[in-house]
Amino acid sequence: MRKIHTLKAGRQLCFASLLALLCSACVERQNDPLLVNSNNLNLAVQNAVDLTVLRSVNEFADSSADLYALSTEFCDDTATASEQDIVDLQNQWLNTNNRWYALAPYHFGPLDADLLNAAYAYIDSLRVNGTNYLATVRSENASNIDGSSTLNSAFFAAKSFQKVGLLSLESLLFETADNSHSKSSADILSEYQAKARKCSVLLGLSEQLKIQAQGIASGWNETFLSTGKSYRTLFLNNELSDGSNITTLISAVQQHLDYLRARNVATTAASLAGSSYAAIGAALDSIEYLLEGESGSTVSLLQFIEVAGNASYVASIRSNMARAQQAASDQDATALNAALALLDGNFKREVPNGLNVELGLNFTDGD
Amino acid sequence: MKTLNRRELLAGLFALGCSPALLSAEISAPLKKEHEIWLSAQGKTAGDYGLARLSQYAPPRVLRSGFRGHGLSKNPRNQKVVLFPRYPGTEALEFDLNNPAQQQFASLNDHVMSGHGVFSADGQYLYCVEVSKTDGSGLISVRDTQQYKVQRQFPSGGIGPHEIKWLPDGKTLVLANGGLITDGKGNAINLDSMDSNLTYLDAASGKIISQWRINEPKASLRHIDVSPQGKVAIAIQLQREACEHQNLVPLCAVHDGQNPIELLQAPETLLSSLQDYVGSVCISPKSNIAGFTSPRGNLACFWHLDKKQILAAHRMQDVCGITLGDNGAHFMLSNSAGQLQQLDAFNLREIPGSRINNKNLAFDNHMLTVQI
Repeated sequence: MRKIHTLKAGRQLCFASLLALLCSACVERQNDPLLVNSNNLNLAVQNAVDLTVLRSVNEFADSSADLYALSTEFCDDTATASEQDIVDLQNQWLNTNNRWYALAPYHFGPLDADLLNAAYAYIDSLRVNGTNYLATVRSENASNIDGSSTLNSAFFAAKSFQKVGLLSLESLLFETADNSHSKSSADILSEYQAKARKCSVLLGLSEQLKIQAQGIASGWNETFLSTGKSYRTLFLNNELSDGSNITTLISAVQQHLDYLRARNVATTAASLAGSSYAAIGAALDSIEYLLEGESGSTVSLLQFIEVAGNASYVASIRSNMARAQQAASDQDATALNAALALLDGNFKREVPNGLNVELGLNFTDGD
Repeated sequence: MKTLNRRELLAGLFALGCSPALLSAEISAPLKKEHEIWLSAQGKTAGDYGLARLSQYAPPRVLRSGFRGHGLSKNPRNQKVVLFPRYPGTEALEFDLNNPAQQQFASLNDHVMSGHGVFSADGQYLYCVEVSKTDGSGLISVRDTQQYKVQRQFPSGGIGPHEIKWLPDGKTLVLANGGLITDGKGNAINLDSMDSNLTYLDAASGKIISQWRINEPKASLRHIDVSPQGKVAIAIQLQREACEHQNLVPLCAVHDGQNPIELLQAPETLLSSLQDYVGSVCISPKSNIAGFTSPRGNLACFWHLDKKQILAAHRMQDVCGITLGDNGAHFMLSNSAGQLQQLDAFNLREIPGSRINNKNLAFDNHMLTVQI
């Protein structure tokens, strides 16, 4: 089976143009000291969005599409499939899950535009309130595999968030759907070969994941709701109807760090794949990239904070980020949660203060 | 207690960098007709703290307070308003909306103010919610409205009392005891034993009529509003770090005074968006809809009080203040970026062109609408 690994041509072109533009900006900046002004802050925000948020959006969309394509290829001929095909599917799920964790900190705009049927919830039910719906998806998958319902797109699109998304696909790919829940790739393959409806479930759920991811990418890149503009345009032009762009970005990341710690994501997520630390590592890398930008080539948020005279803020943020990344690498949940709490604090204080941004009295001070 | 005379007041205003001439002119300007103004505690720094006064007809004005304010109550018999301090403040300030005179008064010994209080219907008394510095227990100090001297006092019925309101009978007080004891930095120190309740009190005797709790020990009932029919809408804050579960807890509730408190339901994704924190609540008597605000979720959510149905959710960054505007036809929302947004109180759609931005202001948790 072919390993799918593509970037869409249009996005490649767009990204290359963007990099060229940013590189030209960096040449100017190397000759001139970075000034603390609104233009450079806006440029730092634009770089953060284009280099990290949009890239995360597009990589998740691509990875989801690849998972669907790989599933389609697998299901076209399960009779001749091998255990390696199961491993390939598992690896593609791992890649998609990591790409989701890299995007999930930017929990606004297309991710939660529909408050009642938010895209993020369909993709990642754990993110809603930290509840692990593994028992629900196991029951749902088994029921669909053994039942007689017509397993078409409409069927899966209508399912509530507790029964779908990455968790449901994790169960389909990393264990058998029978009561043994065997993790043996031979047993998983045999079940696909014995029960054709399991492939229908895999295809239906992976297609819906792809649709959700494409919807997010479309909102960011093309048109957001009925605005006629992309969310990127609305965001960078500060045309959001509900608040300022940089406040939205910083508070979203802060709340995500709080979620990762408060809901013990390290010990509850991706338990079948055993990849929660890798996923949190992907989230931390994404946030680090958001802050640091591309080394030496762009105006980044941390550069701006440092030039504004807040080198101690930058040192604190970098130190806590390194601590969190090390804890994730060590798979040490206690140390990770402690470091996440420190980073959470950085996003409540040092990051907004360093950028001279108000998160809001009411947001900050409870009563 | 200290009453400021005009000279002291003007000296204080001058010291705070405020123009007494401007304030005086604004406050005492002859009114063409009765109109609506909106009041809110405001300010980000000690030098800015005050009472923001806003209307459709005049530029915003800030009456300096010298402390960070929280809740407000208007005397129904005159144009005087009391700005309560944010917990754990000890000084409250009376403003006369038609006159620059101010009168400051202090909390009881060894007590701080919760940030809320209410005047009696006859305007003769102020019921001020106070909290013991030693054990967090709640007390209602009943004060005259001449010099705000304490006439009597009675227990609130719990720990960490917060907002208080009247039932429509004018005799019964309803109060949310938040259940929390906090240290000087606002950190809860009794999460293990916290006990929040909704208490109904006989205002004349101070006797507890009834007390009600919800089935979540780590939920702090804090803000309330009362409908003309006597239904109490309750805004709740969950102490998530103290929970031993990951369950979603509804944070908006309604009580009829007789049956168990009813938690208002909504789809999980919406309830989750409230981020375990609802900061203020307001009922529209005209539409019988209760609006709840979550600054952490950047959301205002609305339920029908009788049908208990979620009707709408409105996004606004850092939204917390909520009151009624346009004689009750609108919900008015505020945030600390100095923004006001207005929603139709019936269909809950934003009123086009109604946004007001005051970039130099930062509205704190609560708003009050008054007619002058």
